[in-house]
Amino acid sequence: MDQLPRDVLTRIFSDFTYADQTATLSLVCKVFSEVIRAMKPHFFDSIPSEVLLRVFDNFDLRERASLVRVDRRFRDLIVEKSSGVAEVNVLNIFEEHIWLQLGAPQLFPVITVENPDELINILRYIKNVSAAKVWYESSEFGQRAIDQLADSKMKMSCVDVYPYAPEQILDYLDRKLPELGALTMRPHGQNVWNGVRMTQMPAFNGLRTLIMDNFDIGGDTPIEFPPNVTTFEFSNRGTHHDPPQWVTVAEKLYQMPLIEFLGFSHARFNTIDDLSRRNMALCPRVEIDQSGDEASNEFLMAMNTHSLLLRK
Amino acid sequence: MAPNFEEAPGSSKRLKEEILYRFHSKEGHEFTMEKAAAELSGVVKQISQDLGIDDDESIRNMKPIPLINVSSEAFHYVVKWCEQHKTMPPWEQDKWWLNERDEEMKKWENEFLGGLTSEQLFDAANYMDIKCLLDKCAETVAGMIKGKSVEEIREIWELENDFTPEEEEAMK
Repeated sequence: MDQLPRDVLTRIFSDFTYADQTATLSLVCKVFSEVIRAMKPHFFDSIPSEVLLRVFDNFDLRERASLVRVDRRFRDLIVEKSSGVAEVNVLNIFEEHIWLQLGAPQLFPVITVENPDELINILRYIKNVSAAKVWYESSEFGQRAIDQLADSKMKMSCVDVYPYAPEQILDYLDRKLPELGALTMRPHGQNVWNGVRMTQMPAFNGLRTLIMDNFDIGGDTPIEFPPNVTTFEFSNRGTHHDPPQWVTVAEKLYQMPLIEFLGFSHARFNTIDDLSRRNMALCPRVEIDQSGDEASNEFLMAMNTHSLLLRK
Repeated sequence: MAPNFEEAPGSSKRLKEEILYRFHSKEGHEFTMEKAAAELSGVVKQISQDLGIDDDESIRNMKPIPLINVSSEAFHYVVKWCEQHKTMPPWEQDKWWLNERDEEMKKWENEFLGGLTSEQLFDAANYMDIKCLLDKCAETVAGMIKGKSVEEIREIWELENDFTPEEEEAMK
């Protein structure tokens, strides 16, 4: 058939749809593809950029990350104008077996990469996320995920660290992302159900918000809290301690002099004395969540502060 | 194959009882489109608004709207699409393909787009600001690209690799 004169081929092909011509016929052989090119020169030149942007809306992040390599026009439209690349709100990075353990949830678009180092090919096209969550069991995976986050130019409002084993990657996180503004730490999974023991905290000089859920900081821990935190929440559902965990934390609040919002949950308060004996006067603003709670009101008057959230 | 414009749904020889907008294509053919169909076009809505046309009588008396960028061939398809979609409820979803429509309509749309022999429609849909058609066109083009490698896309659509070697390396 490729021996037929080209004008005959042109006439035959003109009865095919554009999609068939380009996506099927032109792949058959060189002659076909040349005939079709001559019939429809430069298809994309005739497609307005507005339409092309809508075209890109049909692709997921991974596909777009490949399309940017086609040419400058594709890249500029996708990177600069396309809404999609900037729309990722929460980015979850799972070590594969954890994702599988969770039942391979497909609530959100899922992109699988063979190797954590390939993440960068995707992260490059995300402008900002409100939270990047790292779900890991091995610290090696956690660190490589952090490498990728750090190497991308993505803006992150918050990083969430979800360890499945008592593996710490916080030092690494601080080294790689010293400007990080918000951090949520929450162990997951059976192995760490009772909390992860923690003996030190990196400097995190940029940190404004710190949420520690189920990290066990023990009694006479040398832990130092980051100096610029303004919002701090702490909870520990794990084993009982004497003194209770929150007491240990309360006595270290002076390390966070800028604090504006403080939350304790799963904490046992017996009397107001429990609170007022601690160093909490250093907390300048306390907010009350349980109105009419006698203990907290008394506490307020005693401490002359007005920003404390108590959850029992 | 060029459509027969005289018998086409947008032909000017239509029942006079309908409320019709009239249009002139690039080649000067006159087309008509029923009110609800024509108003799927953002441009038609805008023009009527600018001219203060708000009742059926003034639509009837309106001069044909010149669409200097829309070929007769493309317009023929535009009319078919809009007439098919004129009774559909307003789209709630920003992305056309997420809007609810029955299987029959989906089938019609796919056949309609599958039967296109010209890419001029994309331009026309964009120029006339017909959002639902534009999105369907985009979905169709996306379907053509989908699953192809960067090299295949460049090869098929003659896109030139205009990156410097350094830029290419950086994107790998």
